[in-house]
Amino acid sequence: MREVELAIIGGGPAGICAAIEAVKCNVQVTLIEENSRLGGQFYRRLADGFAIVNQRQLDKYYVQGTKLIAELEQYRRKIELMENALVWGIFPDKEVVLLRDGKTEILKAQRLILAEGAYDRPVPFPGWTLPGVLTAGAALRMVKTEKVLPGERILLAGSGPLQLLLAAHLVRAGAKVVAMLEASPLNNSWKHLPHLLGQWELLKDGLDYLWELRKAKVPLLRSHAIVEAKGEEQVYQAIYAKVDSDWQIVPGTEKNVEVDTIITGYGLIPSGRLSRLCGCRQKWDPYLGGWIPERGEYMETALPGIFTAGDCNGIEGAAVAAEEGRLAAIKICQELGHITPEEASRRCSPIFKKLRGLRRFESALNNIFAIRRGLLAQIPDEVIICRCEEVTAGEIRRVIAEGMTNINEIKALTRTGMGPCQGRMCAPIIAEMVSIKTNRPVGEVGFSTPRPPIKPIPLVGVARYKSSWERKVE
Amino acid sequence: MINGRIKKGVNRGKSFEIEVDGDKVLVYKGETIAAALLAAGKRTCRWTKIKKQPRGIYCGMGICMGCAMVVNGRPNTLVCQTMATPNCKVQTQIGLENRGTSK
Repeated sequence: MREVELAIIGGGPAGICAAIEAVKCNVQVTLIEENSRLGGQFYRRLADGFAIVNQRQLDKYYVQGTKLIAELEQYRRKIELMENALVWGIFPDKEVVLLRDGKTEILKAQRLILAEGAYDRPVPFPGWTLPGVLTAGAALRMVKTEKVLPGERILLAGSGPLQLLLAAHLVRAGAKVVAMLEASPLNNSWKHLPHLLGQWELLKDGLDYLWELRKAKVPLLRSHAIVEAKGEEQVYQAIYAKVDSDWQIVPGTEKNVEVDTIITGYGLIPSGRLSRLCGCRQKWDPYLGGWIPERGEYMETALPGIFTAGDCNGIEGAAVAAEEGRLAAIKICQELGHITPEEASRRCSPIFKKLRGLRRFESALNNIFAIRRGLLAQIPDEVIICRCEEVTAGEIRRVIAEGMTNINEIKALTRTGMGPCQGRMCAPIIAEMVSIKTNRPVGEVGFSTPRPPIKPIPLVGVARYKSSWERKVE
Repeated sequence: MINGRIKKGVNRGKSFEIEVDGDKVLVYKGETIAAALLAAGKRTCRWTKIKKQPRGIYCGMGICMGCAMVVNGRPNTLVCQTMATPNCKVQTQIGLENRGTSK
């Protein structure tokens, strides 16, 4: 075990910006990233050894990411960068346990920033486990970084701006997008317009993508959702239908379309595994994507020395994530005595101002596109909800009917969430199912308790770890 | 099913082969096994133990376990997170929690 001044977990926009701010103040930074390259999901890099012939064809956000990573590279000698490093546990006294090259390493951090990011919201429907059904995040990654198309005839189904971005990428890459289904009616969106004004760049991006789709003649169907994926070993047909304002399927409006790929993009869920493992208090916010840690204005949790930044605190996008990372880092610099409180507040005030504008925009988007109940109320009984343990909606509904309304009780009885994904996929769905059935807010249903290792690792990785508590006992 | 690599505007590095269920599959340096499989049109990574259903790439970021395969004899390897290396041996997996009996 060794001590570090500041450990940042997650090398996406929040983590990178936090590292830059902290290293500027001479804090000793350790930046830990699970993947082989920095950037996170949003700024994911082109695969190693790949080159884009015409640099001007690079996506604007890709260029942003490149700039940000280049800024960090300037400080490369002063930052300890750990790539391919999987944090699988955080123990008391901010002991971060990670696996790198098959070996466990332990860092004891004076300050900790958790920038875990987010993942695609899984939305079950008959056939959603078939090969050929994938998430918007997976598709975007394949198209952007490894330059592989996930299919030839593609149906997009979901809600929100991310699938717009994906549709544009797919069209540019030459895929046939048969339609893009947007579950929201969008007819009330004008009410949110005042909140969108001022963020011209973000607004313009959205319009540009819409224009691109119109040029490519991709039908954009509002108030429509995917109903079923048909196939034996993979998808060959999709059934979609009109949905009402609660996203309930309108019977009799079903249509068939031949496709080989269905991509669902129903927004993102904050990844809160590490903050929950640390014991940070969580709150439920449906507009921000689900369970998020409670924080103060400097991104500090109630636990001393632990900060959280970025989308793991609610889905607000890369720009907000970056500013949150900066705030947390500046506060830490001050706490550790590298800058004076006056200097810290001087640096923070423009960030606060910027965040207010960005947040207004993001919350308007979240209001328009937040997932509605109807979509999850109608899942047929035979549909698998827990992908790891193969537990169906019917089995889960049976135990709910028997009175089990806590997510961990349901886990114990049905094995949902006991598989290797530890409920990342199924727990948010089950929580909604309980809430629908019992008429209680999801916030009362709870979340599945994470346990280390939070991701599957070889047993030898655990065997080599001893907590400080065990060492004291010896 | 012919998926494919995007040709327009991209330069790739060296190519090599890997073995997938006994067949040769072309890979470019820098690709994950998942990308190579998608490009070759192979979508089923594993079969589930109880209901014997096919699974493939779903989340694409190492969470959902859909793409768990046997790689060089090691079961439960998430191919969306694993770089292809020359001559690596990839096998369709059956089940999850066991030793990953390959097909």
